[in-house]
Amino acid sequence: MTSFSSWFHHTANPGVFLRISKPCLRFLCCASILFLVIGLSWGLFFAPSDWQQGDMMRIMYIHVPMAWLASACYFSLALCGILSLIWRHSLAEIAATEIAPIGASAAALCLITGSLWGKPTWGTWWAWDARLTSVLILFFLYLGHIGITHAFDDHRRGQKAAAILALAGVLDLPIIKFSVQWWNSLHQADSITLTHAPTMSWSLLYPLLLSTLGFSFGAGWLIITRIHAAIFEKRFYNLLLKNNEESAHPL
Amino acid sequence: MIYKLHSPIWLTDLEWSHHGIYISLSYGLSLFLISILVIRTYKRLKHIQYKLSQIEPKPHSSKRHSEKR
Repeated sequence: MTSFSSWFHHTANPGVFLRISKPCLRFLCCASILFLVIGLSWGLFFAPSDWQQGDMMRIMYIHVPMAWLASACYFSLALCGILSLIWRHSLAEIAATEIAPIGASAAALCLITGSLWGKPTWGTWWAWDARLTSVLILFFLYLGHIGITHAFDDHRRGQKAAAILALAGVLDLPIIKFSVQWWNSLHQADSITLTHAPTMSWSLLYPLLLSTLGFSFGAGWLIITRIHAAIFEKRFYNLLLKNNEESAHPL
Repeated sequence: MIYKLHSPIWLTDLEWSHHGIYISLSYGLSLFLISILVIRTYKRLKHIQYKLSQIEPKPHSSKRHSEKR
């Protein structure tokens, strides 16, 4: 426990994070490209069409990974919120600021592709359905998080308020997950669950798993790269400030 | 190939002729937005690395070192 605690606080140091995460970037980038090329081309060109939806289900290979990423990013945001509120983990604050735009983009793409899927299958672009509305709320939570983070002159206050919002908004995640079970939803029920066998054919499922892995690795690469950039920006402004002070008060 | 659909109002009165447009729009728009995000992130990192390299003291050319010499 003590070793975990010391490791935990050790990784809060941005310099340590840079050293640990730098070798992962190349792996994440290569794995993402590989899985995305195989998964998306398999899904788009080689997977059989669905017996009911025909070729429309090919949108699933973008829509489902985006939905998964939107939820996973928000969960990470809430985790960062806990770390920054309780332990003032400086890296968690930076990570939360950098994760939010990626999660917002995933939520937006999930809504857009869902809408493009909904028009020919349901006959409408949008319905105030439980699943759709809860994902829209998730998107607004992301926008709120981004807005609040940058709303204060004092960055610390902004990050604290955004962390509280992230923790409050985490309640939306189980609502998204169980909305199709709790309410009579227009959206279909989950095809993949942890407790039951998948309700879709493996010939459709394999490319879906590959594209989900590809997008997840890609999101990992994006988030780590953004954290690196944020750490360098912080270091740059600190150095600039130090240089200005030295030139203003020479020894 | 079994794809279980649960909603009772699924797939009524459909026209399948325009599927290509919806699929292309989904893939095109998603990949376009993702590539913008990737390019902007990469450019941001390279830009700040360059700016940092301009002001960061080098190990052997620091002010204190040159003063000593």
